[in-house]
Amino acid sequence: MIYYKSIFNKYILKIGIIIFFLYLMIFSLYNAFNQINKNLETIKNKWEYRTINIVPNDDINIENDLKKFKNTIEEYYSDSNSNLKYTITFKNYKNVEQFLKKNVNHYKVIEKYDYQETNESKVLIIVKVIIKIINVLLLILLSIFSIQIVSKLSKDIALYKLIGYSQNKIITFIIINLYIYYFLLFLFSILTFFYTIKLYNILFYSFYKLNYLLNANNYVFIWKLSNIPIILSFIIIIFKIRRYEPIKLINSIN
Amino acid sequence: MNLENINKVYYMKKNLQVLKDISVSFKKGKFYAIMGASGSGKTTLINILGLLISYTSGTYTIDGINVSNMSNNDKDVFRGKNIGFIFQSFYLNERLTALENVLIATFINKELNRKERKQVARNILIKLGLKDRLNHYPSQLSGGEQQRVAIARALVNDPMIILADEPTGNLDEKNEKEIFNILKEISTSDKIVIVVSHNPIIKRYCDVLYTMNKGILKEVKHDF
Amino acid sequence: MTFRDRYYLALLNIRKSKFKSILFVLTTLIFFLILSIFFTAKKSVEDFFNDYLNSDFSNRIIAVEVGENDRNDIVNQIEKLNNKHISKVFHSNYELFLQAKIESEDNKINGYASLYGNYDGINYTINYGHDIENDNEIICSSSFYPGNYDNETSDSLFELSKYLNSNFKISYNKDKIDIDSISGDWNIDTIEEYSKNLKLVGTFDIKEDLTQYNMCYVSSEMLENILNSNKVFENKEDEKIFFDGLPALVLVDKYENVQNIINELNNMSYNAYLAYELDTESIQSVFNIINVLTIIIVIFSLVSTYLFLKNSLKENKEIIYFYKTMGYYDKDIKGIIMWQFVTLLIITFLINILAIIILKPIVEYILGKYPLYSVLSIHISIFETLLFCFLTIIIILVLINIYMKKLSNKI
Repeated sequence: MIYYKSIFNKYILKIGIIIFFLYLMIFSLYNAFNQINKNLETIKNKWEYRTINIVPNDDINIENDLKKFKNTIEEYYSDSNSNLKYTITFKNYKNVEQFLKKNVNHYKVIEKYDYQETNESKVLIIVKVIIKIINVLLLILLSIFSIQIVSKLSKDIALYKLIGYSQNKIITFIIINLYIYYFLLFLFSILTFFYTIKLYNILFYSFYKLNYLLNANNYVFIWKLSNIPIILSFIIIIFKIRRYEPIKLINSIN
Repeated sequence: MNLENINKVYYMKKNLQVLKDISVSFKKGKFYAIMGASGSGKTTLINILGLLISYTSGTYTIDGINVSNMSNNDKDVFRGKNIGFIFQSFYLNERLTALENVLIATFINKELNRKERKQVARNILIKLGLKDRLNHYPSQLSGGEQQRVAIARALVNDPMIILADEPTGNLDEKNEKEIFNILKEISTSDKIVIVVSHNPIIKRYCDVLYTMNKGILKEVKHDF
Repeated sequence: MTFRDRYYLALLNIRKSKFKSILFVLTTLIFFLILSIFFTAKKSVEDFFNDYLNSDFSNRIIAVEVGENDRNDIVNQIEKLNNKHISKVFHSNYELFLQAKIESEDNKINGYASLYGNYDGINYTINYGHDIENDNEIICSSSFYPGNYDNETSDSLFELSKYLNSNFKISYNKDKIDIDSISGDWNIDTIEEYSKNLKLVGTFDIKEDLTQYNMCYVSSEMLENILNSNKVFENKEDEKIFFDGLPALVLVDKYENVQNIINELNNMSYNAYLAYELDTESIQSVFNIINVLTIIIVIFSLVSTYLFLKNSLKENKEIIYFYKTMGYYDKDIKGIIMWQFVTLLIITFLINILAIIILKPIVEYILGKYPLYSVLSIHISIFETLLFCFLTIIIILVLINIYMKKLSNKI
């Protein structure tokens, strides 16, 4: 606790607020990313893309095949005029290919709508790429601010060296404390993000509902990503600790 | 502590020789004072003594150990265990209380446990008259009190060498006397105390007096 | 102190703290880039959808239910209306286009294309060659997929402009459809294979028309010729069953006239509706996502910039104290610091514009390589970034004023 108290000055706390906002931004963008994926799946799962009209070939018992795929079939019926023409609607567009592949040569496909990229879906994919690019820029910002935090620790490092701490000791306690700091910021921003969405939905429920689509895996992934700039700043601080002379503390104040 | 032919040259456009052939020995149980005009090299000398900067040529040994063989990290560790440094500007951590400022110095000592560390830090602060100031921050302490905290921090690991660079530079007369008294007392307990100062009253306290003039160290015989 | 003096000192400060200034410019540049990229993307997407509504002709096709009525009757009645906004009436979607095999003379191009007729309501922009003038000519999309649609990820599109004035073989089948009245089995047999040689006289740009690949136009007479005779039915009953449920289609010349014609047809007690329902829900959801993102990014940028500027100002604490001890007027100190930041911000903004100008053709080139993405054209939007730059300057002015007041109170 003393170490924590000794190295966290006002400046580091202020940068911490900026980093908090950076995390919020990354969560929001990731959430939008997931929303777009959800929309894309909805487009791909339109009724037409999950439905086929087939006529079984001779000697094929269609009921058997349908039974095997019972779980994936939403509904099916046979044509009243000719009870050999079947219309099958699957639950997911992926099931169509599965069914046909499994039952190769069993059926003559009369009607099948293959998914064509619509213009909306193409644009959604482009928006996904834009989100990724902005996320990379945010990570770069995160690096810049992490390095700024580290650069503000020069005086503290010099003081500890002056008192007689070994390099390893200084490295250890600075890195551990900074890492805990980042992690606490991360957790706090998750909570803020979650409650902001809730608040937004309460205030603007008639306008557009924000879906909260981040799960634990997403957060773990984002944490792992944001570790890159953090570790980069740690490498710099290790380098700094090795090089920084306590005499500079004396010279900087005098 | 033994210095033989220590030279310090700063290599710049015009080479600046700050210390010229300094040879001197410091023994335990004595209070050494180094006086001189500003720019004479006293701060450079004491920084070399405190293993803060390196010298250009010569030998510096402490208890037979040649300092030039040490890496920077080794010097830091050695300093922590064996040298207590006191500065004109105190160099306390503004965000820690007096007790905590002294406490962080005790973490080097692996032999003490948590309780013992706190006890040692408290004792030394009480001994220096700061019993009521343990939980005050440096901004809440007077100049003299801050310097005493700095001295406590320098002493807490019981180092054999105490170095002070203008310890009373920022203090008033009353506090000056107090600080020199403390330093004198420390020197009697079998430690080497070296103080750099341009304050003439130091003559009353020191056992050996040196003067520094343009990089040359000379002993001065005087009456106490 | 004159403006020149203040500005000179501002420049001096910048030069003295080179590293800090570069870091400031870099950080602000990333903020600006995020905004520019986001708003450019936003504008491009919004423009894209607005164009899409108007240029894709499938948005202008009205379906009219046939039900038990005679299909030909309905078509005739609609044509009799002589509504100038109706470009063409089709008996069913089978008349709209033909899926045909298309091969080049040198056999390098071998794939499928949808052949449409170039009715009046259908627009396209010719980029090479010229429009169709007679029945033996064909124009196609300038980029062409070889093989079949499954190769969407293949990145080698053919540039059809290289094949201008060469002949293409169009192959299609004549099918006989026989529906067994007892078992209900559908038998579709190919009875003849036809091919025609058509000369490629022009290509049209896909992006401009937002249509899909492998799309060609032939003369409407040629198409009608083929479509009228490429299906043969065993009997009239089979024909009725085959077309059962398919609506007749009406092509309207402009998107804005569509609703009027739907109303007119409904008033004639037909059941008319937009044939290809625009999935406005997914378009709307895209806009919603973008709007929410806009709010988030704007708030984030403002808050982060405010905090960042505050910190940057604190870095200049020593200089400000120094000036105060020297006896400079507050007004002058404010001016010096302000010009320091404004200069850096202007530099950042110029670099930002430069970056966007350089990036645009690079991004378009990359997009062009992937057929999937080349539908979007990039419309740069720097207005918001400029606005943000001004806001930043205002924030700095406010912060400097507050800070100087605080210092005056302290001292």
